[in-house]
Amino acid sequence: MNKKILKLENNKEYFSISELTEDGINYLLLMNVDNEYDVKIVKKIQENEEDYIIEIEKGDILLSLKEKFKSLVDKDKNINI
Amino acid sequence: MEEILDIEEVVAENLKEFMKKDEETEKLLNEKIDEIAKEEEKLLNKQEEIKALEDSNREKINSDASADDLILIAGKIKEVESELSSISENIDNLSKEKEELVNTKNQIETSKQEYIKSLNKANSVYDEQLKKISEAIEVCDNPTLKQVLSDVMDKKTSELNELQEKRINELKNVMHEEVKEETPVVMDILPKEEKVVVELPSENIDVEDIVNSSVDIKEEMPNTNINDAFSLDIDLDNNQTPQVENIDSILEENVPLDTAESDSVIGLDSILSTPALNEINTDELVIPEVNSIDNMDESKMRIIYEKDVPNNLLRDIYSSSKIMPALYDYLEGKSVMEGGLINE
Repeated sequence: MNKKILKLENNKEYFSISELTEDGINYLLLMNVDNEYDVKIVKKIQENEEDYIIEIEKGDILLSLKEKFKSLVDKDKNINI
Repeated sequence: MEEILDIEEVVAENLKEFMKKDEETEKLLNEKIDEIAKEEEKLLNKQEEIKALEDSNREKINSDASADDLILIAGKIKEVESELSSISENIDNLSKEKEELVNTKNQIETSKQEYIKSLNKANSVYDEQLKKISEAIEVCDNPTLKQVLSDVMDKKTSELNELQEKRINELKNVMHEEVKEETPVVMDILPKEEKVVVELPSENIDVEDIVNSSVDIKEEMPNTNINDAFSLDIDLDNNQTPQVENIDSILEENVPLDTAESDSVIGLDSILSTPALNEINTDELVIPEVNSIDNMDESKMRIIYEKDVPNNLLRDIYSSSKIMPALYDYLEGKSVMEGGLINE
């Protein structure tokens, strides 16, 4: 689900910059389309055939994901520039 | 959730097929041109051969050659002239075939342009309709009705996706027919719109009763007049079909499509009309739990739709002097407040 724009039920739109899967869970790095300072890492789940995202707000897992996403972003940046 | 096919992606996908066919025709055309060139070269050689034979004939005549020699030369000249004639005929046939291929190429180009035009037009009709539903959702205060409209919109979106897929497959099937050199390819691949009937589900949507009934209900929900919910841009008479401005003209707009099947339109007026109301016992009424936008738990969010990002936009994003620094600040653990102030 790389490189997409997602619209959420709170009407905000996020650019899905990168994606990684760990232990069977999909994580996304999202940036608000209208505010580049609103960046978050979320996990994507499915409930009742609907897709949801849940923000990862704190903890060691967040730090670990940030590191991994950073290398992915570096890689993508080199490809796309 | 199914992806919404971006219009540019769909058109690009279809264009690839056109370009593929164009390339194939171009290839045949080039081969034809090469063949003609070779035949013309043969023709020239034969003409030179005839000239040489005629010169030889004249020499023989001048040198009092024997009759047998003269007859021999005359025979050769006749033979070469006959070969020349068949080469000329061949060149004529090849030229005609080349003409037909050129026509085919032109037809492909014309069809491609028409296809793009009709597809864009059809898609923009759907987009317009989906936009109106989306606007209705935004102004609707009634959460239950809002949910119903959202579900209808999701259904319509997935139907649009299926239509897009069908168009792509249709085009592929047509484009994979062999190009016959004698007859040009007939491009009858304009998309067909299908009529889709939208029915608002009537069960559990006794909206007017919910809004206007007892005190218990009013404590839970705002005293929303359903007519007000749709007042923006839409005229809604009580219990009558709402008159959506210009929607009928949009729905019936003359899109140049195959008329074998009836047009596909989203009946917005049927979506927005007040559903039939049943009498209910308000004592037994159960108000469904509704999440208003204000009360939404921001940590868990439903994804309404996903859309692909075009490649040129991707490049802009990765080379942006605002976006990338903000992104790296987040990833490196700097908490950035709005406006760019860093709170480490």
